[in-house]
Amino acid sequence: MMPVGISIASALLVAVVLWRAWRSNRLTDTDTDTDLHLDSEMGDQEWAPCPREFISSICNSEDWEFISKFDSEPLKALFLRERKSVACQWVRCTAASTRRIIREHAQLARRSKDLEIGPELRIYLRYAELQAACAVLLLGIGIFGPVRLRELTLYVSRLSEGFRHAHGSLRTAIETKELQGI
Amino acid sequence: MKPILTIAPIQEAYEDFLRRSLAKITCDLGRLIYLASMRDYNTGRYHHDGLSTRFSPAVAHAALEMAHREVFDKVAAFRLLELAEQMKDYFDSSHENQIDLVRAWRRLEPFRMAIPMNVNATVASLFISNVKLALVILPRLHQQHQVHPSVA
Repeated sequence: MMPVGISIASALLVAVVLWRAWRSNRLTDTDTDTDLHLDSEMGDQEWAPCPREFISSICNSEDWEFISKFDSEPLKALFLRERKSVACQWVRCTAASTRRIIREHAQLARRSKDLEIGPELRIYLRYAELQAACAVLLLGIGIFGPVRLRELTLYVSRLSEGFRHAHGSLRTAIETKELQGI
Repeated sequence: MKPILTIAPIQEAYEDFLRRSLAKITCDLGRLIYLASMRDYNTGRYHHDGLSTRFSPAVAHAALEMAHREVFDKVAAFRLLELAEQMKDYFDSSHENQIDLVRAWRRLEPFRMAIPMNVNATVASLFISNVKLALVILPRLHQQHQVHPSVA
């Protein structure tokens, strides 16, 4: 009976932690500091991937160590809140631009008369992997903050670059075939 | 029809502007604010009389936009300590009371106007977030300097 009780309590605890993390991320959605629109008015530059040096800046420990020297809890809390907010925004931007790419890719694929199943399947698998990684990262940032998730953040960044590259190659191939009238 | 701009005069205008105007400003944050102040809030077009006369308004706009973007990328990549030091230099150069300036920057947030158009959304957010943090850090750094003048 005891292990069942502990399991239920643990499950409840995990659910509460996850719910709090999700709620805190939802709250940062409306944060005026970082809420730049993900709408159709965004230019190409805004949809472009964030350069890796800036992603590195978001989760670098140097700034955290600098902030810690002041020995002020409100300052530490402000820093974590700010970094969390920027990191969450980057993850949302990455997930949104990935969705935009896959929509564009689906349109291209529908036009193509000579679709290769292998590369198509791979790009959809990459898309699923990237979306799942973004979801996990968003949750992780809500719980642990971006500084502790540096490696996962950089992994998602690499994954996103790979996805863009794969889509770019397939698009070129499809468009070349279209031009050749295949 | 829009005039077709070639890279060579833009590059020339850009270098001319760096040499004549931007080099005289001592800190990158000051350069960023100066560049943003040359942009029309309504249209997003950059204006500089001297540059427009020497080249053309369109070339001057393109050169200033290029300079703005470059300086912005540099400032957005600063570590918090660097940014706080830049802010101190910029505030010192204005010869105004630093406490008043910090208060005005916190309330009015003029640094939001320093972001170039079509910049990456995450980079823009990181810049705003860092400036807000630097504004909190700056008075503390000032206090530290007064208590421990030897601390750099």
